[in-house]
Amino acid sequence: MAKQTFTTGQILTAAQMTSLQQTAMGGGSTTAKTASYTLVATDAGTVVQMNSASATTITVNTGLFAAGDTVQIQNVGSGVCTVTAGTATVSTSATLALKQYDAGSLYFNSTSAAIFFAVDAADGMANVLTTTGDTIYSSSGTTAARLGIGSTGQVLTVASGIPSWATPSSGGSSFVGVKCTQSTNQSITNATTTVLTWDGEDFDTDAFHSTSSNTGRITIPSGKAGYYRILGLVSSDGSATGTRYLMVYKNGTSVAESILTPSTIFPSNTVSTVLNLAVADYVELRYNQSSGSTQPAYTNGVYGTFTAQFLGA
Amino acid sequence: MTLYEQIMAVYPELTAEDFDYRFGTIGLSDDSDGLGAYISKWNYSKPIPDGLKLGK
Repeated sequence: MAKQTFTTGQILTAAQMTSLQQTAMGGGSTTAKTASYTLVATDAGTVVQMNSASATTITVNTGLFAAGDTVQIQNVGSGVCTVTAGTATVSTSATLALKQYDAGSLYFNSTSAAIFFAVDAADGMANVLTTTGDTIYSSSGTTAARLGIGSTGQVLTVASGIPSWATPSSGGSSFVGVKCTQSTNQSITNATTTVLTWDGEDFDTDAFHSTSSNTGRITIPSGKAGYYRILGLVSSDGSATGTRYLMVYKNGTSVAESILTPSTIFPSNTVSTVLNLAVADYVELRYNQSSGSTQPAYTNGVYGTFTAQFLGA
Repeated sequence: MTLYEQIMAVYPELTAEDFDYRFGTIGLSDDSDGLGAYISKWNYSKPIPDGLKLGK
């Protein structure tokens, strides 16, 4: 019911009490409008419901309402209804333009100033999910759309400005690298740092190694610059004399070394490092033994290896 | 005769430590390119023996 002024001793009727309850619950007396409208004092405490297919306005003027008065405004028509400050001021953090089924509460701080608390019908997002794994994204502005789950191994990508699932073109985590092998051991002269050579490969994904030229080198091919893990292993005959060095050389300069003081037990050197390598950079394993005489370096079979594994760009 | 043996024949006072890869005064290398061993470092107090040179 519209706002009333009660007097001492007045007895409320059942109808009045019912209307008061409705008003307290946000409902109550409703005035239907089909055209632009200017609020009047008797709208205080009521619902003004606009229903027009055309754009309309509801104008708020000063001197009609007291501080604490409220007017509920609803728009059920397809035309936009705009709450408009007439001679009063109307503040809001939301829009004053109400689309169909939008609503709001006009609360008066004073006779000349009101705040409009709007409720946008689109604020609650419709549930577009249908299947386990579905994802929600915006297909346009605030319009929610469903992206169905992709297949195993697919990755989320963007095509034409919207997300989609796609199979990685390069196969994702395919291994890149080389493991060099040697069919026979290599004779190493005493106290002479010697490049170890390799006459085969267990695998070589991108022609890192040649078995016909510069066979001691692993060379970075075009398009494969990045970080590499380098592994080296070589064994030698048992001898308690001297030392055994195994080094990784990058472009002719030592970048990692291991030293072993051997015993009469079959000694093995290992060396491992991570290098940032550019295209055409090359790495080698070099070996030095000081047993006092020429000795074999066992780079063949399980006794030796020279491996490079691409870790990433 | 290896390069090591040629040098030792001239300077028999040299020891294994003089040829140590990391700490020695003399470095010998072989790039496995078919050109054989060569002197890659010479910090010994005496000159490189006749007929030998630094580098390939």
